[in-house]
Amino acid sequence: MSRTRDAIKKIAIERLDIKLTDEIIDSGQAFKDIGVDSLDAIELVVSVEDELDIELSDERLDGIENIKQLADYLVEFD
Amino acid sequence: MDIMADITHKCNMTCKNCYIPNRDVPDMDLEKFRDFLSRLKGRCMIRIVGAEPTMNPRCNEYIEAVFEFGHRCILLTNGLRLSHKSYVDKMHDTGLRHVYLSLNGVDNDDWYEAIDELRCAEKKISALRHLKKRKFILDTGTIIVPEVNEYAPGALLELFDKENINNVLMRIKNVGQLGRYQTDVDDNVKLNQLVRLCSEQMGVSEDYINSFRDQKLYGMYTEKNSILFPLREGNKILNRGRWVKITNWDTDNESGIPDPNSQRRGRITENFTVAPLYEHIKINEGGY
Repeated sequence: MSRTRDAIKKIAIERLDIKLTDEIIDSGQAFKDIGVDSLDAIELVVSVEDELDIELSDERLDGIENIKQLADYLVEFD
Repeated sequence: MDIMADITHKCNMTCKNCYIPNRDVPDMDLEKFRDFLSRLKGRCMIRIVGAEPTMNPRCNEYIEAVFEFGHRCILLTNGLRLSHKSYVDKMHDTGLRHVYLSLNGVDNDDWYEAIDELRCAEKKISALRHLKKRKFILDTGTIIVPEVNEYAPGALLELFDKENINNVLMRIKNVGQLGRYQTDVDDNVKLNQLVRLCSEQMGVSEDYINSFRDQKLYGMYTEKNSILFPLREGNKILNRGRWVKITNWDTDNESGIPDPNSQRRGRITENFTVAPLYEHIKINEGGY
C-alpha cells in the first residue's frame, strides 16, 4: 500500500475521470498516451500537493513526462 | 475542445479592448447551459467568460454544472470581485482550481487607466494574493498596447518575484481588432515584436522562444499564431514554474479575425450550439 499512489489514483478518477491501475502507472506510458494532457498534468500535481499536504520541488518535477516518474518521485512522501 | 461560455454580457469595467462590448444581451440561461453540457461528447474545457462572468450572480452554479457533467473549467475574469477573499473562497468551493486573471496594467495604475479606464492595480494584486493562497492554477493575460505598457513582460516578472508567485502561465498578446479596440492593425505590436519584448525583458533569447514555434500546444494542437514556452528550459509541466504564451491577435489577414480556421476554440451561440469562436464573434460584432 502506498498513500501517494492511492492519492494519484483517487485524484485521477475524481478530477480527471481517468481510472489508473498500478499496471498503467508502472507501464511508463507518457501522460498523453493515457489521456492526461498538459492541463490535466498540472491539475494532478496541484491536487496531489493539496491531498497530501506536501510541496513538490520544481527542479524534481523538471522532465517528468509520465505517471510512473511522478509516482516514483512521490514515494519519498510515503 | 475548448468552448467559451459567455454567461453574461454585463461588466464592471469599460476596457478599451473588448471583443463583446454590447451590454444589452441577457445572461445565459442556466438550465439551457446544463442541457448543453449534457449533450457534449467527450470531456471539454469550458471557459467561463463574459464580458465579466462574476457579474452573473449565479456564476458559481455555472461552474458547478461544468464539473457535474464531467468537463473541465477555467474562469476568465478581470479579478475585481476576486479582490474579496470571500468570493475567492466561494469559487474554490465549486471545485474550481484554474483562473485566468487579466493584468493589462500589471501593478501600474497609469497603464490600467490608459488601457482599462480604471485605476485598479490594488484590487488586481489583492486578487492575485487570494488566488495564490488558495493554490489556484493561475493564468494571467496582458494585452500589449504600443507606447503604453511595452514594459509589461518585465513588470510581470518583477511583480511575481515580489509576490512570490512561481507557478503561472503569462499570456502576452497584442490588440485584437474585434468589438472595441484601441489599436488598428497598422499600429499594432506584431508577433515578432512580442517575441523581442519578451526576450529582452524575461531573460530568454529570441532563438529560444522561436524554437517553440509550431510545437504542439498542450501536446495536442499546433497554432500558427501562438508560441508557448517555459522560462526554465526543460520544464515539461504547464503552469508549473513560469510559462509564457505569446499570441498574435492581430487581424492582419484576409479573414479579418485572429487564428482563422482554428478547430480548437468554440463558442456557445444564443441557440446553444457551438460555433467557431472568432468567426462567431466577428459575425456578431455589436450584438451577441
